[in-house]
Amino acid sequence: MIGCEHFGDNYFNQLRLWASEHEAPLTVTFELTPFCNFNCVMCYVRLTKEQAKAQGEMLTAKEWTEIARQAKEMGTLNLALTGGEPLSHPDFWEIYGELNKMGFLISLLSNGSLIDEAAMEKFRRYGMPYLVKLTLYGASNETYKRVCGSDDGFTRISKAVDLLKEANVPVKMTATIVRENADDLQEIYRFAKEKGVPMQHSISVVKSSRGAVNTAESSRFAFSDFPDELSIEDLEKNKYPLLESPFAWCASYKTSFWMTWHGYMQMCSFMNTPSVRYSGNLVSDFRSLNSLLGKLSSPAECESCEDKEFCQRCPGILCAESGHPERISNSLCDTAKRLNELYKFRKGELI
Amino acid sequence: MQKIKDGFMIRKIGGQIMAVPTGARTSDIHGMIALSESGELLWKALENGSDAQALADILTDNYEVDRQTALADIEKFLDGLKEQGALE
Repeated sequence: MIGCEHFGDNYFNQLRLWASEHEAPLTVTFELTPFCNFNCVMCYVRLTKEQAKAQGEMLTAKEWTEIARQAKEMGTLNLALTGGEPLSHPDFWEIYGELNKMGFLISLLSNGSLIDEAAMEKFRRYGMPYLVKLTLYGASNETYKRVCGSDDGFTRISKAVDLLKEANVPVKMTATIVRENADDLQEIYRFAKEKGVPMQHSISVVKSSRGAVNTAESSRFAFSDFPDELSIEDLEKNKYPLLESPFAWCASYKTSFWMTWHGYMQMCSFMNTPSVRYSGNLVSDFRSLNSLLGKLSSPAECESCEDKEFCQRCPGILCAESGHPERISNSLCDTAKRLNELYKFRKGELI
Repeated sequence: MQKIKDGFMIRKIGGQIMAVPTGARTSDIHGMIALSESGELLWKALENGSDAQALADILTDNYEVDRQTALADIEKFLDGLKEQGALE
């Protein structure tokens, strides 16, 4: 049967299945830079020049291109570019231009502030992104100032959305809600609706495990901070039974990798250990990483914990919160305990 | 004569064949085009320009299919490519 068709969800599902069975990195993220033109209170990635210098050297454009070439040979189709703010990388357009020649579906994860008419002209020349995911930090320049230290961030992201939509580039927005911007939540959704852009907010904020300094612990909310909003059904839906593999719930396991700005391959953004230094042989590095990941288990304490089903743990979040994927985190334990108590209360088991 | 636009790359991942737009081509084609094995043969012929008769020859040479069926399938194939904006 001859055929040509536009792909759909089933097509991607088949690819994911293949990737899982063959341990192929179908999806890869390049964290081009730890630097950003914003300074968000909850950011776990952003480093100063001094902090970055103490950790290592940024990969060069040539190195990124070579990593991409090898990833393509391994079967990578989805390639996400992030940071920090990826467009702030001094060689962003050189890297982007090369990657666009290779046949990836390239997504950009950006704060949108550097997507202006000049950037759009370069996208037209080098290639339009397959998807742009913008992070929204508030619904006004005042909130942007408070959260990100940016005087006009909201104006800029609003313009970025308009430019991208005019060019028919698919856009999605996410908003990380912390105490500093919680009052804007309704207005954030109104803004997204007005722009015709899908929006999803999250309260998931992690401590920095990679040297950045953030105010995660004072700024963030926990699920259990909103007991009135959580029904029994919500609580049931968010149960995570403890299974043999700590990666049982992880779609990225063995089908994905994250390459940091200074050349460390890790499983995801949060999980900086285990990691493998890029050796020049990506196949070997990916195998080594998967081998190390396969040896991990859930923290010993979790097995006998009566709150375990309500724990929002994954190895990545544990790593970010406690410093290691096999070490418990008091904040996760506390939240799980409170959610379990709420669940019992809702079921009438607890007064 | 029909011809595939410049700027596509054929990729084969996990047994799937796909034509992915690259560079400036991404401005008018979003995503990728999934191809079957025979579709890939036809696509390659169309990269240099071809017509329905020549494409039918390719199908009848490589598969057990009669000419009438081949021509009908090719018409659908070309319509599909036109719909997705892949043809000049």
